Amino acid sequence: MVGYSFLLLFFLHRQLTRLTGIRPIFRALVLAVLLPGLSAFAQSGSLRIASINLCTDQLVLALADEEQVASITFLARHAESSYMADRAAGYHLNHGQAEELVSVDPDVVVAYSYISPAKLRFLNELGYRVEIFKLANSIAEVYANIKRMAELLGKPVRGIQLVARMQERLDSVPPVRSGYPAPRGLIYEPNGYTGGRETLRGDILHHANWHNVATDAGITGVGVLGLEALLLIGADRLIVSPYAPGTHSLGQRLLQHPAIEIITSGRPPVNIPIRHWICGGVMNVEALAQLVESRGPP
Amino acid sequence: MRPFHLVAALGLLVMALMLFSINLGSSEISLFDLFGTERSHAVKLVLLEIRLPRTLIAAVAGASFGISGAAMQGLLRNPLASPGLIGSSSGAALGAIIVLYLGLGEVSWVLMPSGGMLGALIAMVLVYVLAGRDASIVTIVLAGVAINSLAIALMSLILNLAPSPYAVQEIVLWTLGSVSNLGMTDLWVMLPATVLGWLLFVGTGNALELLTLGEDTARSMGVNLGFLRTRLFLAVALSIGAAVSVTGAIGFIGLVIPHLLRPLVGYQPGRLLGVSALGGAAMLLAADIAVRLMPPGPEIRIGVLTAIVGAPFFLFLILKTRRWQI
Repeated sequence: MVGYSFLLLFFLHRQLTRLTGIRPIFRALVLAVLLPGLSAFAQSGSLRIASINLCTDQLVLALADEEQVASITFLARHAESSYMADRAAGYHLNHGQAEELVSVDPDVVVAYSYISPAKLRFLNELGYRVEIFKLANSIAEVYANIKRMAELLGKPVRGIQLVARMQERLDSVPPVRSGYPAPRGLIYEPNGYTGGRETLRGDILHHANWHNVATDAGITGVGVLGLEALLLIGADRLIVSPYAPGTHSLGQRLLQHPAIEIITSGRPPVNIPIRHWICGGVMNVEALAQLVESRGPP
Repeated sequence: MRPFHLVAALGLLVMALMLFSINLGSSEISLFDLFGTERSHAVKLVLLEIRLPRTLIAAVAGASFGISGAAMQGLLRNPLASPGLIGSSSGAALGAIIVLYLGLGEVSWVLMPSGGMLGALIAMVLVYVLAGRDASIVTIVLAGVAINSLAIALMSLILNLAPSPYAVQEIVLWTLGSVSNLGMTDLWVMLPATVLGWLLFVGTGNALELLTLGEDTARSMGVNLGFLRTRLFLAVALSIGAAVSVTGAIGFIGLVIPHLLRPLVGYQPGRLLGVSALGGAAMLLAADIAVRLMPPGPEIRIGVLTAIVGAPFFLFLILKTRRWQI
């Protein structure tokens, strides 16, 4: 930021000299008057932001001007997990390490609440302002994060517009045909993990007018549902989001257990790309649209 | 105890444990519910697709661990020889891990047990070559420790390098074993190699009995030692390789069971084979039942329980052999 201010001053200095031809001493005086105002402009105007988490990466990319992005994580470039992999091209990439940020010297570092205390302390010691975003567990919290990031970037209107666009998509979800029950879906991941109440995925399911089976099992947050419990509760469709398709482990093999196919009467799982809801943001409406489409004939 | 009585008693114990195992789970479902009409579909699924394979796999794998321990102790004439100590378990786990995490398991189901079998065989041969023919207990244990450590280190390395993000956490499953979340397909995967291995054990009893008189005496009485050794190594590799590639390396069953049963068969290694299979099945079933009786939460790995029983037993054996040597 200080660098930009000096560039600006240098530019003004040359312009003054060219246009007015006034003596250097006067030029200096004019600049001395301008200087405090300029630095104030620099402070309030465009902060340069470094993000050290995939989810804050995507909030920054959705809302910031190009020159405001000091650094994002390498994950933002991964097409599998990042919705904005294309847009993330050309920026400085970090691996979430504090020392990587020294070279880009951001004004603010944004991170999610997962950040380790040691890293946070180190960033503070380096003198960076660190803004911690709370993990969004509902669409409402996604909206709050979008608005907060927009304000941080000095672009509050963009945040409000983005939220309005998302809400418009949410409001246009058709209801389940009257007389028919909502389809019973279960988010099922390797090792039996599922999302119940107070999870972003559960909330998106709810907005798409699915019934989240995990809530019947009393699961709040992320929980494990064993095969036995799953068979007894039953579900119409499993909703899967392979994080690393094409790789193999025992945890991933659980999803091929014959009982799972039997329970959904052979109906294939709904496959939501992980990039559509691993983070809160504009991509969540894509997951929503896909879930609405997968509800079957109305 | 008369042979028939011992086999009948162990057989009944295994049957009882299997029934108990099928009746036990996270939900209140028992075999009697099969005959009710309510919720019968889900109940049937729980019993037949989740609990039955778990029970059968525990019984089959336990039997393989038990019989392999008895055979190795007889062949090497060494009370500490067991699948866990001479490296066949960890070698099998390493082989299975290579196949599974590199995605070869998708190519053909045969590759998983084959990987396990090859790993077990290589580890066993290495220990055997390292320790030499008439190895002392200490030499065998040392060679086993070295090969075990190497196998576990390589397992860890492969899981770290594996592309799957879930791989690293699964080292515990492979080093301590688990029979949860298995299905009938897993049973079918392990069964052919297991049965083949068991068949190879059949008829080696006499030769093992003669071997107790010493290698030279056994040879003079017509035992082809090279053939016996190859046959038993193959049998152990087949049955342990198949079992471990499905359940992970479960320790101490092959060590404890033959020792407990040996006095009951009059110290005859030939008769020990069959009863050790039954005893091994009973021990693994009991350990799996105990795991499920623990308070709910993250499941305790089955190898934790067999080690809690087996490790003190192992120490007891060492103390006993020490007294002999003084």
